[in-house]
Amino acid sequence: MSSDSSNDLIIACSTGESSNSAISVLRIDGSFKPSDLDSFFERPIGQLEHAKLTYNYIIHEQKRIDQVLVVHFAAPKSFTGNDIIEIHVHGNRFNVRKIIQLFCQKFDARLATPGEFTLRALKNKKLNLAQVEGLDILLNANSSFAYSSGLSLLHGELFELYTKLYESMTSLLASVELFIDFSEDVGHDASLLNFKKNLATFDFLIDQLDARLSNSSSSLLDPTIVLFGKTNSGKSTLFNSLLNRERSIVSSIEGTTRDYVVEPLMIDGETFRLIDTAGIRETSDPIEGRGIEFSNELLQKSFYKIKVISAKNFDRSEALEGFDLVCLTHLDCMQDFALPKNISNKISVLSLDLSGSIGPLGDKFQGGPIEPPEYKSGPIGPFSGYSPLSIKQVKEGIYQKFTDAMQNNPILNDRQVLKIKEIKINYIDFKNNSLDHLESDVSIVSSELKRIKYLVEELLGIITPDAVLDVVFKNFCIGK
Amino acid sequence: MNNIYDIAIIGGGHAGVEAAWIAAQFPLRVLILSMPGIGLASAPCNPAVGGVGKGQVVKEIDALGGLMGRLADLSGIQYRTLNESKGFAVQSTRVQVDKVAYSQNAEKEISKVQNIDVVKAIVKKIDKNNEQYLIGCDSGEYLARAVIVTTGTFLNGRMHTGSDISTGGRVGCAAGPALEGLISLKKLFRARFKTGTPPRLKSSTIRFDQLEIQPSDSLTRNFHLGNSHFERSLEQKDCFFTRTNKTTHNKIEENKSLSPLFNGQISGVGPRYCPSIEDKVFRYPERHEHHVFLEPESHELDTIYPNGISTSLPKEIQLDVVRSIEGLEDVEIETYGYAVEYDVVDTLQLNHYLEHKEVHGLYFAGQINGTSGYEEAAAQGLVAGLNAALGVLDRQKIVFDRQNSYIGLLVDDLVTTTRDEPYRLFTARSDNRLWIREDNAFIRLYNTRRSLGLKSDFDQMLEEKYFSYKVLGQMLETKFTKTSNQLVDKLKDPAINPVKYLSDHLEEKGILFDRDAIRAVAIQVKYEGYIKRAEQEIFKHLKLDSKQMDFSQVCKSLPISNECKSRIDQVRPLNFGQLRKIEGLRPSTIALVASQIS
Repeated sequence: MSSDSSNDLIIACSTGESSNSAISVLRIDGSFKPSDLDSFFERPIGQLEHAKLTYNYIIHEQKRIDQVLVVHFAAPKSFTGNDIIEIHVHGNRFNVRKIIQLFCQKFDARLATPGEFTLRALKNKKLNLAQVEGLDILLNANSSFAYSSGLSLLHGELFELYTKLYESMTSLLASVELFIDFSEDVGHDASLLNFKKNLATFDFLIDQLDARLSNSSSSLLDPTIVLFGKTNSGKSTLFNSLLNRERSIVSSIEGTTRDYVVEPLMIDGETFRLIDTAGIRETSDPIEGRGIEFSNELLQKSFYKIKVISAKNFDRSEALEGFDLVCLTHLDCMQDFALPKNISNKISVLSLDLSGSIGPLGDKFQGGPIEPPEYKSGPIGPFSGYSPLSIKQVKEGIYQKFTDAMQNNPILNDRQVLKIKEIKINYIDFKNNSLDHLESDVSIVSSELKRIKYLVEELLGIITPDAVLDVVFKNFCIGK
Repeated sequence: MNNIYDIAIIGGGHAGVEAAWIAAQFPLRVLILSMPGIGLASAPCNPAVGGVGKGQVVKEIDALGGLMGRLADLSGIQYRTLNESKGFAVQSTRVQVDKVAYSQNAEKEISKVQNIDVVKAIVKKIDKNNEQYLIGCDSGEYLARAVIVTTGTFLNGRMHTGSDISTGGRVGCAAGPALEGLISLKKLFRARFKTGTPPRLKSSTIRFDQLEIQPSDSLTRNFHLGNSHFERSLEQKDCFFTRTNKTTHNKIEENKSLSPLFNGQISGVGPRYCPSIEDKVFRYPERHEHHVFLEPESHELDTIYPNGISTSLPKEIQLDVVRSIEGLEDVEIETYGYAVEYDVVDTLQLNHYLEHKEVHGLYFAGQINGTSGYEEAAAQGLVAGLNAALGVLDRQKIVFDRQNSYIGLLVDDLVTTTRDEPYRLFTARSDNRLWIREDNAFIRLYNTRRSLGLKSDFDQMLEEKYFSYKVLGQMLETKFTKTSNQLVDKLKDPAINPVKYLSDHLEEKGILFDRDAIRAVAIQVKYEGYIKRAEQEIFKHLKLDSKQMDFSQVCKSLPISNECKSRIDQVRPLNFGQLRKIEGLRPSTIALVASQIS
């Protein structure tokens, strides 16, 4: 965003334009006085009270265009810090477009770019970077958890926690400075006590944040369940079974699922995205090649990873570690099959036997119900230790992992997660290697702490002038 | 009448004499115009030189060929190393000086300099005629090519003791004219500040035997590089320690309405770090005692400076308050405490040479710039004196780097920020504390001094010490012995005193080196790793900080409050680092501007 456009008059429909609705809200922002827009309305809006809805008409060439409610948020008490006018219009898409068009023509305004109102809020100090990230999570939340996380980051508990962490670091640094510049005034023991108190506070706060870090922050934001496995191992059948309907094409010809298939899957009210990947195998087919590349990427980012292996073509070199669940199919071909020992995953056993019920594409294509297998092919030996899972149990397992992950109230923004990790690592290093110097060589402590302070500032997305002395003066009696 | 000078200095305090001293090292005629009745470099408040952060400044002044360290060594009666146990980087020297001797020594040293004239006169008017300054005094007129104003608290000074108000810059002295009258060349002033001083006590009426004693530390080093470390010029004296108590505080609370600080009589803003006892009692009601240090003022005076109880209460109450303190039950007051209000210059109008941005050749230094402390004043005197001299000689002037010296930090803070209270140096203000130390001041400022091209004995000595440092440093790097690696590790070991270890080691090997160089090298080795780590962060910020642009222009198009805009317009920061330091700017404003340049 170039600096000269940051005060343009902009307009956008803030309630979404993709469908008709009873009401749509148009938001107008920029450097203007409400009275500048008088000619757009039947009754002047120059004298509107702050944040009060009033009844009005939009007029064009002496004709009433729409019956509306108008509200004025006076600067700086608005979302962006500028003057904002919001117009509640009838929510038909044509109506909305027409009004926006008229407005832009009349006042030389332009459509807001995505996120532009928020950017203005950031620039006008209404929000800091961490809050904007919270807003982003909030507005794009697909789960109740993401929704409440966004809210927490925007104005709530997490925002407060960050602020506390920042204040705590400032106090900690101030107490070191107290030790250096003012210990004659305050006394050695009092300064030391003060430092330890502040250190304990920072300890507590950073641990609290650290406990909320999860390696899969972005995967929680948009939780996906991904099926991996060799071609024709039965992924698509599992996919359909989980959805309880036909979606993936199921066939016994290798490479049927050339691209990937995505469907939303609701489990106990949470929305997941279920993804069926292309089989991982070498191929010269460019379409499938792209699919394989994609499935490797998914392996990194997915929330719940299911590996499907087939007794028919199981290759002992296939990796089974790192998956949340391994499903074994084609149990009827198990005679010559032995699973590697010491697998830590849960093993689900799916009966996908060739003699089972007929698949969707005729009797060449077989699929089967997923249920405890009937051991048609004799004793299974190595599997007897694992209890087979039904589809219901698979879903329960997924949901369990999700609720477990939510339990510690994880932080969802990747940038923040990385920054908190960096703070924690540096802080531990500080405690192990520099803290000893407190009484013998305090400026080392100060120097090392300042480095961590920069990181904390980066977490909040602010650059501050040194506020440390202010804290010193506010809290301590200085001067002989 | 030969009344034409190259540089005229108005004021003979710590800033004034330092300015004269450095300027006169060049072939220039220098004039000091000083108030009649006051000796040069007098100490109207706490008779001490140095302190945390300030000790570093005195060593820096000394390394630049300044005067303050020499005077303090000649006049010291009590030495201490502050923060002695807290590591080399924050150790600072503080010397109580005999204030009578200090001023006499200043007079003597200045009088030895052929090209400095001292005239005791009150300056009435400063005018400029083409490139010539015209200085009108009660006793005559002087001409100069550059003027340095170092008038301290004298301009428009008003003193308060209870409801008594008198004009004057300090007790027993007349005030200078209001500054508008003195220099009508430009509108200069921004604020009135206040400062205060405690009553002086008669030493003979104090019960010292009841009090904790603080003897002089014979192991604290002298300031001046040329002096042997531990030699003392004067007989040493003890300081004593006592504290206020509940009775003291009650008496102050009862008389709140009589304190000019709290009844509205004084409007000037005082320093938070040097509060009056009234301030302390009202601001920190939970504290029931405050420290009081009893410091001798001179061998020749029977007076004690009670450090910690600056006050402007009415005289009878001062006596009552003081007598409530242990050891002072029968004390008599020689001079009463007072607060003084004075004009301060808007230092945003000055550049890094401390010269007015628009009035060429007009410099300001010292308390008139809104600082406190003799050391801060002297440092500015040196910067202004040096640059005035270079300016008159038409040579390249010098900007001191804030990353390399407290002098640089001080000047940079002064000319890029506005303050609501007198400015004092704290080591906390430095981003680079591990590097800006007392022990290496002569290393840090060697190149600056050398660039002056002066060939005095001092320069010869400085050069020898500097090269010792370089050679020793290189020897350690190039592993001059098989055990060199181990040696470096030992110096970094927190359990080992690196200075002693390196000295002993060299002695064992029979290698002779300058003591100051050994000390600076040993400490440098100890901190090197940490300095590098910190520098990475600083560098990250400096990269942004050194971004130059016209911020007034940038800010015009940004949604920034008018207050912040006007601050930026006032300061006219040259780069982002200066902008960042403007006080009163909201963090988000700074982030916003940063987003425009990154």
